[in-house]
Amino acid sequence: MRMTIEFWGETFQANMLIGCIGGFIIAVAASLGGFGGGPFVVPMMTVIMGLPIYVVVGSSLLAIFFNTLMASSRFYFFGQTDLLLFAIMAIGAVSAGFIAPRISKRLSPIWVKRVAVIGCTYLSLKLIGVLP
Amino acid sequence: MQDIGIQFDATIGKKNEEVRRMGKLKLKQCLLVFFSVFLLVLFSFTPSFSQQKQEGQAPSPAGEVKKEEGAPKVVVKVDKQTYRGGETIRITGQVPPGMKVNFIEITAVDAKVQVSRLDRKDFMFYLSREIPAFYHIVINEDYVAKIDKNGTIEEKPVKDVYAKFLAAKRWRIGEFLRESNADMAFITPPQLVSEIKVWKTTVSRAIIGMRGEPQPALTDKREVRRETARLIQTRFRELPRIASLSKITTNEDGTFEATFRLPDNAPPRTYTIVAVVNKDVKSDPVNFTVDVSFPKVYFPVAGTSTNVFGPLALALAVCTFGVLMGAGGGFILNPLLILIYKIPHGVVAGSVMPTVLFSQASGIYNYSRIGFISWKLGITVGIFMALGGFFGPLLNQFVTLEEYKFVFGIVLLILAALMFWQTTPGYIEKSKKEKAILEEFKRRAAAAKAAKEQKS
Repeated sequence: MRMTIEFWGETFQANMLIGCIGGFIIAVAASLGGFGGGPFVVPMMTVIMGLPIYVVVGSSLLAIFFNTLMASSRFYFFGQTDLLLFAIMAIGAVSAGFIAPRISKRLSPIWVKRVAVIGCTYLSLKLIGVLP
Repeated sequence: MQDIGIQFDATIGKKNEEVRRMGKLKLKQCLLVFFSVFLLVLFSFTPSFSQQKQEGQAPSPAGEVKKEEGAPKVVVKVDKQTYRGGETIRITGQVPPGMKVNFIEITAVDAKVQVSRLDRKDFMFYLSREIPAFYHIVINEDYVAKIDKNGTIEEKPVKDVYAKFLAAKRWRIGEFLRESNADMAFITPPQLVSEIKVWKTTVSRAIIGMRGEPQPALTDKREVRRETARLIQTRFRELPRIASLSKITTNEDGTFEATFRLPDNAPPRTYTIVAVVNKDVKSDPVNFTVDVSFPKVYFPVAGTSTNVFGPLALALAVCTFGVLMGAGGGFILNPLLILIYKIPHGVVAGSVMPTVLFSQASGIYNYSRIGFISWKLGITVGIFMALGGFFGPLLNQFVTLEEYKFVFGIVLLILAALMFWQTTPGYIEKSKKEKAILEEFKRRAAAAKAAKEQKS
């Protein structure tokens, strides 16, 4: 199941079986956990589907938006959305959008990722129960 | 003189007549009062006019009435009317001589939250919106629990019972309440919960995104009581958050005292407190309030109070770091909110997820303005992702916190591996080229957009 994608005069062949099944699985895990899923959709489209990053960057955002919108409304109707907590988190997230680009100029993105690798590994081992 | 005498005689005669008339009147009044009293006494002893008959109850024997009037009564008091989270309540009161207060039940009766759980034995899904946001039973640490084992009463210090359940990896609240005898203090929550909704989960119903086949709601008092206890365990999870051992000192004269420290995140509004000696002897509920004022706020769905600047600073720091590492904030924010603030995982997921909607929407708008989105690719994958987003929140309700943490931990490990790969020299080199191409395409797209606008 291949799909022909035209992007700025170039044509690409995308394996949509992987894209659709992969997107579905990522969306289930992401909405179960309550996060976007971007860091998984982008590698799926670039590494597994073989699409270049300039095609993926905007399209993956659009795909993730579908998941976020659907899951957010589902959570809301299930009575699981605390509007005050949401408001505080939204203020934090929006402010971060302004602050992060100013800091990023002074920081090496590679080192930020290395710190993130250590942080995520520690947190995951704590969540799984390996660490107390 | 004669006239005067005649007049005098006449006056005397009139007076005598008046006296006689007054005497008759008084006699009539006395008879009336007597008759009224007689009727009253008669009616009060006639069954058809008695209270028992009116209420449809059989008249109680005099002995029983006496016993009821003289039933041992427990009085409980608190040292203040209003508290704040983190403050210690000094509980005092009086019990009948020879008795001891063994349990003190404290319940937030106004602040209620939604709690649901899936019973894995029969795949029944239970949901109540009336679970108290705070509940605690203080158990006298010197209490010796009595357990009926096939007719023989076994005695066990409650300290041992508590330690056993505290050490257990998996524990059941029903067993704990029974073995510690704290079930006699589990009074208020079943009164607060009017009904518990029930679904029978099936795969076919889950596929169409439903919780299951709706079943009649639990309204039977016994069933509501049992399920309320289980929902309380689902909500508070850890034993020390539901029950604790403490010194409840009962003096020889029947006065007792105990202290209880309210948790920092105690929800606001009215609480009730009940002192319990045994199943039959307990106090009437006494009210007090908990005040939450800025900068502390109450999160009504999460059912917790906290300083607003805490989660705000956490969100700001984590999201900033998330943007810098290019993975968004939710990955780190969600587990931290659960670990630090003990917010239920369903509420964390449901409240954090919508926060990225705005940034995503503005990103899509910006990319679409310069024609940098493949709508065909985005919408096709997006439809399947929307389908995933339809099931994920449903699964979120079905999984326990442990399962949620496990799934999240695995996801984070994969993310860490992905990011580690992105820091390898090979990827960095490839990424540099790709970034250059991306910037070039963005530049071209913006230029084409500008040219198009100029033409029009």
